[in-house]
Amino acid sequence: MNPAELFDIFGTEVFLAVLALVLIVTDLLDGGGKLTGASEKTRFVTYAGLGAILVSTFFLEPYGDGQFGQLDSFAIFFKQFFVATALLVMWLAAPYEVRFPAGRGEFSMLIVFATLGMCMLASCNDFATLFVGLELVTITLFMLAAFRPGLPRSIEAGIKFVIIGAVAAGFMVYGIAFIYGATGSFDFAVVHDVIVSSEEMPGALQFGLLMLLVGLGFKLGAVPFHVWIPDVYQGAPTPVTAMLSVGSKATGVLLMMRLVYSILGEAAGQWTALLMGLAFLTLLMGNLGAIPQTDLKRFLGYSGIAHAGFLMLALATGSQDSANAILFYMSTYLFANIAAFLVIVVVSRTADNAHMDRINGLANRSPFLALVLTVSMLSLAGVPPFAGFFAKFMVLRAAVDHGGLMPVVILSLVMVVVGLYYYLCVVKRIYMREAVDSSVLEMSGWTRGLLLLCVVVMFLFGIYQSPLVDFARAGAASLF
Amino acid sequence: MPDSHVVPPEALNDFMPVLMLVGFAISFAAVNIVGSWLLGKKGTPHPIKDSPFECGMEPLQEGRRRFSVRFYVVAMLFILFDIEVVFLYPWAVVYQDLGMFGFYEMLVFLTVLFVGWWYVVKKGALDWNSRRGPLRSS
Repeated sequence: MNPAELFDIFGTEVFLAVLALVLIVTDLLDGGGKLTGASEKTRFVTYAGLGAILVSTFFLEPYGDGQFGQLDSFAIFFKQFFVATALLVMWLAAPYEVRFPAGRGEFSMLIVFATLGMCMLASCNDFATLFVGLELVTITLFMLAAFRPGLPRSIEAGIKFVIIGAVAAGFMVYGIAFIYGATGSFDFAVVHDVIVSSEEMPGALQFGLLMLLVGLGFKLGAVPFHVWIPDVYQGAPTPVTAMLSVGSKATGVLLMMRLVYSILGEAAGQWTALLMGLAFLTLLMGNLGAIPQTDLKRFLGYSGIAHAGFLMLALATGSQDSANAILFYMSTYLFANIAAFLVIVVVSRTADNAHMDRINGLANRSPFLALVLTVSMLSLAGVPPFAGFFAKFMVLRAAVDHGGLMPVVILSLVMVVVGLYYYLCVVKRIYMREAVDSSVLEMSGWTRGLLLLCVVVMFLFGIYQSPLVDFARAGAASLF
Repeated sequence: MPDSHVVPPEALNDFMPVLMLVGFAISFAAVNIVGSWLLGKKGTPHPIKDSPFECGMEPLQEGRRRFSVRFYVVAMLFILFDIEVVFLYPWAVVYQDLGMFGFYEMLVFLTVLFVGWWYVVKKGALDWNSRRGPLRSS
């Protein structure tokens, strides 16, 4: 690969890598070798750098296939998504960072490295690039999950994540080896050609693709590979949980879309029953599991599994409409989740758990926070006029159009009602319970601004969807 | 891109000896364990008999010992900088053919590595004696 081509395809990644290096140097010059380092300067470099990179992604031009990667409109969409996620997560982390005993500079740096891996995954067209990118994401997230060494629960989250992540990576490499063995190539396009041209898929190839599906299922949090989600979400520091629930899940979604739409392509019909089964189980597990939860982060973990179920349902459909629906869904999910996690950060303050009692009577303590959390819950539940409703609507319409998915569509409708129940239970706590402690909740102007931004986005794209729908459609166009 | 990429099943025949070796290893272990279980005399268990050495000194402590986490840090850093040499050596051999592009490529690699080295030194990871060693937060 010549340098010019490298820069055309992996330009965003190069910028992110440079940003990470600059962050290390800033942190070293500033912290003077103290582990507690990190300061306004590091934070400023992070925001400015990520902001500039986000702007630069809007000037990306589709480039097509390269030796190790590709840059199509789908990749560009996800690069924008990931850089925006990183920026929002860093923004969200600002009021939380004081709780890190050490390594605040490293925190920003690791988030940037994780974003780098995610962007690499967005434009991979090769199993080798895929694996390197995936490891970059997971290994940085392992460290981030255990970023509060003083908290046993954070360590527990880190260790559980490492073990499960290693198992998932093992499955994936094993699958990639089989795919390579059966096709003699790492290239997605070649694997696609073999799948489409052969009358019957060779056994080794089929096995390899299934193992790959297992590995991606772990990332996405689809049943039966969801077991790590509640514990890790609960134990990890809240900004990291936000990163996991949006960024990490989006990498799973993105790779799953590449697998189903690009690699399987016309042969995706063979997997409809399989994906439908997984969607069925995921919807059931996520929604029913969320009901008895008393910890907000754990609750959002199960809610994330439920959303993964919806995304799997769209994937099973395999149509272009469903691809648009998935991209729209992820965009609305991003803002709803960031808002919810930011409220958790503000409400739980110095405490290191996010028990649901903390939001009791929130309406009296801070009507603004109460409103934000309510809007976020309603959007996640899929209540009009919020963006989450339209996301669910698009997925269901694509699934109904497919025709063969009726059992799962009916189940998902039932599960929407179940979801409404547990999301409204949270809302009930906000408005109808007595506050456990009634101290004033302080927020900085920046925090307030981010909350306001999320609410406006959820509301705006709920009533006027077409800009975001067009954006999603343009992103998904290159898959077909 | 070449047309057909389906690997013929015969291609795996080269690995037959490996499979046979795996089978042999498993059966050898199984035969030995089952054989000694079938043929051997089952004596009465006794704490002395079960100790690692039936005669000689009594064990003083656990066989496994904890050692300082610093060793791991040093080992990790060693691997990191070892990789540098692994890259540099073949690069030096083909340097003439790579031209200026190879030179800049290596410069980028070394810059990244240098920043890493600076980080390691400044955070005191190589500081063996001071209190502010690796993994001490304050």
